Amino acid sequence: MKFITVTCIALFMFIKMSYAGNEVVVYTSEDKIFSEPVLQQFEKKTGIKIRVIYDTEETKSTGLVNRLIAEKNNPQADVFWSGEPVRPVLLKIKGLTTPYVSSAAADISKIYKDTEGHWTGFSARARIILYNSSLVSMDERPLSILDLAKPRWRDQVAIANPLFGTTSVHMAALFIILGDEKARKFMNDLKANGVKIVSSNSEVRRLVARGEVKVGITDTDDANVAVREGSAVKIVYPDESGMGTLIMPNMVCLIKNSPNQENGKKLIDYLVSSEVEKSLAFAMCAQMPLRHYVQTPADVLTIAAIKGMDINYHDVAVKLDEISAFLKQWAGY
Amino acid sequence: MQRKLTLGFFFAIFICSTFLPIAWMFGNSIYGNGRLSLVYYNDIFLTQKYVTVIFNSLILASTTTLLSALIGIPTGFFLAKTHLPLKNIFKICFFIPLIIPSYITGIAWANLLGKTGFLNNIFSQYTLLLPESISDFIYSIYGASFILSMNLFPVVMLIAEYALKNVNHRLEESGLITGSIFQVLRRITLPLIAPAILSGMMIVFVLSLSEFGVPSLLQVNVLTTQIFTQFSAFYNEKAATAIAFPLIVITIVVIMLEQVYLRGKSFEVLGRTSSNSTIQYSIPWLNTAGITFCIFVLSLCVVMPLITLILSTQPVSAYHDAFLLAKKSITNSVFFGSMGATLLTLMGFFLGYLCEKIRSRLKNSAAVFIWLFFAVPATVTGIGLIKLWNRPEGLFQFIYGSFWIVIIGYVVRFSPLSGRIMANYLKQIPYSMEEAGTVTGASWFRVLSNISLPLQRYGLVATWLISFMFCIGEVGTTILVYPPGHETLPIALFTVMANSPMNIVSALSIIIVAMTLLPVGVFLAISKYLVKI
Amino acid sequence: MNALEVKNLRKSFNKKEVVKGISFDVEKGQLLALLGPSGCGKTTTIRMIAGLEMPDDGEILIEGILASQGHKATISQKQRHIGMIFQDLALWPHMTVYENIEFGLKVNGLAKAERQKRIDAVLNKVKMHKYAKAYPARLSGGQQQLIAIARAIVTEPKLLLMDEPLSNIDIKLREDIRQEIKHIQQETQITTIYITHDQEDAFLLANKVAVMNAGILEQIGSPEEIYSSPASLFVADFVGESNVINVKIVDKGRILTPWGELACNTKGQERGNAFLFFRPHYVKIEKGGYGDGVIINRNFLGEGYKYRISTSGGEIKLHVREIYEIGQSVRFSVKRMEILFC
Repeated sequence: MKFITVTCIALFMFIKMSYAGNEVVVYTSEDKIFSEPVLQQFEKKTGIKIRVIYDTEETKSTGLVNRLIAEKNNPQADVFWSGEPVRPVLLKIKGLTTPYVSSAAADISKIYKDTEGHWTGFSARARIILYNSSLVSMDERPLSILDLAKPRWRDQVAIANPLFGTTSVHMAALFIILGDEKARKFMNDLKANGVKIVSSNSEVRRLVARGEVKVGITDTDDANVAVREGSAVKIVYPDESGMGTLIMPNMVCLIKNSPNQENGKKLIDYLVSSEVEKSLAFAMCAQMPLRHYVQTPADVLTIAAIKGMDINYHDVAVKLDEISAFLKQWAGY
Repeated sequence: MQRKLTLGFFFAIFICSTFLPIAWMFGNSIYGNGRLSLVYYNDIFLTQKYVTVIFNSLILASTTTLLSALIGIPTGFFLAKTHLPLKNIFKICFFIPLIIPSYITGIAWANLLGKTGFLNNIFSQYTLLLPESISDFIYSIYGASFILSMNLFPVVMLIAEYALKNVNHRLEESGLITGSIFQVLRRITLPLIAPAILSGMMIVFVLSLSEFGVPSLLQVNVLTTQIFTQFSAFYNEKAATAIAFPLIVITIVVIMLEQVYLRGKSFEVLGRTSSNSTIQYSIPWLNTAGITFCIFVLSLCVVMPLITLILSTQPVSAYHDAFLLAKKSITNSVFFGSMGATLLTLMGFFLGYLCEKIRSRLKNSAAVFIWLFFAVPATVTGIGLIKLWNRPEGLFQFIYGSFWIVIIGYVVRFSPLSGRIMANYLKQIPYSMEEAGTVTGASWFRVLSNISLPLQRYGLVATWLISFMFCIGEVGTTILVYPPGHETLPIALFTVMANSPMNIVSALSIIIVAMTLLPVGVFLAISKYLVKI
Repeated sequence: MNALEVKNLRKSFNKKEVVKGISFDVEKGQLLALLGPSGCGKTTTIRMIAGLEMPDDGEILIEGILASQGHKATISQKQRHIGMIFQDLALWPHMTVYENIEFGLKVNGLAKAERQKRIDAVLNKVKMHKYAKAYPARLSGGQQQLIAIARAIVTEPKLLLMDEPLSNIDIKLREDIRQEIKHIQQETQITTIYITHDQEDAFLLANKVAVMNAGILEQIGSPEEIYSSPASLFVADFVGESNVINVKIVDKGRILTPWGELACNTKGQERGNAFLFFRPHYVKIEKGGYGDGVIINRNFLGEGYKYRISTSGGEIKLHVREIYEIGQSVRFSVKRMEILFC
């Protein structure tokens, strides 16, 4: 009896499956609450059915990149929308992507685009220092990342595990800007200073908001959530007068040999458009548009208002690979 | 013939679904650049690097097992052997810790015992403990063990309760004539249920050994977090699989220890009596102790984390938002969960039958072989499934592109568990029950459907429920293989967790708990009718 | 034609041979008791006859039809047409008495009305018709026993196999059920094999008794034969109380015992060592007895006394009506004895 039922359901599903036609499959590591409305908008506009797998580099899955790599021989995804700028580069290096230069991204500065067209950046986040404003006064707040290695912040700093997510990107960028030796010294000092290594950026946010530590290094979107939740926290864009902070655009790339190439291209055109940049700026994540002319809410800075590190994302990806053994050992693994 | 074919069929399913992807991963991990290479294994077994990690994993698993036993055995005892008021309510409530995703319980406890946490404040005010030392405790292996045992003790409790109810009452009565309750418990009852309890502790041991969420939250350096690092930071699936190997070795050793302990011990004393003849002690002070203990456990493992969750779901609209966010995944979870649980129960029955009811020398090795796969981490399984099923050919594409791959994931992850649970139940029924049917000339299917299955209805439902709970909570493998549009509740939870306000995350957790509890409650309500005899 | 023929049956478990080539026949309508100590292979033997275990070698014929040959079954389980009562009865707790009995009939494809008729009849036979709707767990031990019997005979099997069905009930009830079994067996004339380790069961029920030891059939015969002329030392010792003394055959019909030379049937032998076997109640205490001994122990049996006396040939047991004091010297002679060889 059971067998019959199961077979029926299977058949039914099979029939349903074979109807799949005008669609596009996207894997995104941009948080679901932000990416879903954007993708739905695309679906409504074009009538192309979107099938999404959400993930976020922050959570405890091993994530989409592993899945993309594992699926290499028979790709399921057409488009990979990454919330940060290193993994797409990694996919390019591993030969998983195919070039597509979107005309819609013509007005995005070329530092956010791959020279060969494998990846294209849009709306960005930045790395920031979050501090608990009831424990730290405005005057005391740290202005540079490097300050956090100083004795006055002993045992009071939280950072996410630098092997993962945006923190890993941030560290690689620091190694490029400061040079290996200086960066290594900074990190060792930070550790000697009793930095608390936690599992994710949202963990950093949680600890700072609860006052378990005074300051933490995290992303703008995490910080924004804390601010809007009404926690006693404030944001510092570090090193405004020095090296600047790391700007991390979203990145999108087309997967090689995927089933729906044309629809994938249409989706990329849409994602890099100013419309999406605007809607992401107005969303809770408050992402900064890469185009100067895109309108933002009052509390969202434009890319022009902060000083970004002068780096190339390809180099960052290469650097990250180079230093990950050091990071692993640093994090105590 | 029917028997051989059917058992063979299910064993073949087990081999295809579970053995192949995992064997593939391990095979791949020793194969590099076109030839055999043990480079990743050398790293583990020949360098000092991993000694601490393996050791940490062992500490985590054994501490968790011990704590779970310390909580689970007494609660099981009080539920089975005393006249506790509101027994069924207690029982349902004790399921809750198993259902709340361990990661969420972890956050709740980290909040409670963190430097500025509520409990931390109380402890540091009224005891000599410093806030830092409490917070350090929770962020240590022992803290992780503490949280995990809060989560996993129901496993021991359930098995202990079932075993206690089935102890032949004559054995206890003969002890009570000459000795006190304590002597009887220590010298008669406990040794009698020891094999069952051991089996429960084994499940907890392996579960905590392969647990990832809590150690990662608390940044405890164990094998599973190492595996995660290899996967997520280095994208090195071979190294990751190699690190999973010690997990398997440890499991083999534990199984062997169990077998040595059980050698020559007989289970005959269990299950021969009808379940309504359990001795129940009605001694006032024992009842009081029972109530006190159960309330203590209830507040520690259920009320505390639940209250913290509920408190953080303000305002009520959070539930609405959470519901909207997870609407699709709720139906998915219920559907996949019940499909998975049904399949798992079916597989569990036949795998258990293979391990328990076949009189052959293969019996023991089959049980050990099947159980091994329970120790394989979810991620290794997930990648293995992708490699095996993601092929352009029609059938593969159909399975990989549909919810079937999620169900297969459940089967891979939990068929060893459902098989073991079922084997424990099957053990309680004498061979003669089936033979009395066989001898009349009835076919094996007829004996199964008229005798074995109805006799096992309690075991089947229990296995279904436990499988359902585990399926609904599965993340590690599902997140790697689920096709677009087929996300389940915990995946919805994980994908919104990062940047959603805490209240929505908490509300989602509560929804998961409520949803999983529903069938458990229904089961307990009807179990009176089910366990007629 | 015999109802059952077993030829050279063998079976090993884990390389240990538990049934070592046994052969016997059972006539139609008879009850054979398979008697032996636990672990002697008797359960394995009837499990092979029942078809629950495949023999390694040998043949089983049921009513002249080959049921198994070598390690292969030659007819289906249904064609064997066996009824069996298990040691633990194995009544299915989830079925009512009626359903328990009905199962075998359903398997054999009987129509509902026919089933009803047969079940009513069999329940009447065991006087349990009141309990048709009850679940087995609600019945007493003796009642469960009767239901197990009813379930086994309702299909009118060619062979009824009983595996120590009385081992779990108390003495008083045992008597009743034993009578009931005897009565039902005689009435239905179903050929029956009854396994027991209790000689009383065997003697009271059986037309023939087969004594098994260590996988070998030691002797098969009527209860009287088994009792008074055991074929082996084991049978002599296992069945009833006995005295066994080392003796020497000195000539045809003459043996040398510790109490002097005696006349005895030496079964054709003229020389050699042998054992002298005699039952305790064949020993008489009398003035003119040829042996002497001293009473060392006395037990009251009801209709007499049981003594142990010490003699020059070792201790011997005897049953007599008269009372003697411990320490008293007596003379005795053996009225009926038998020579056994190793």
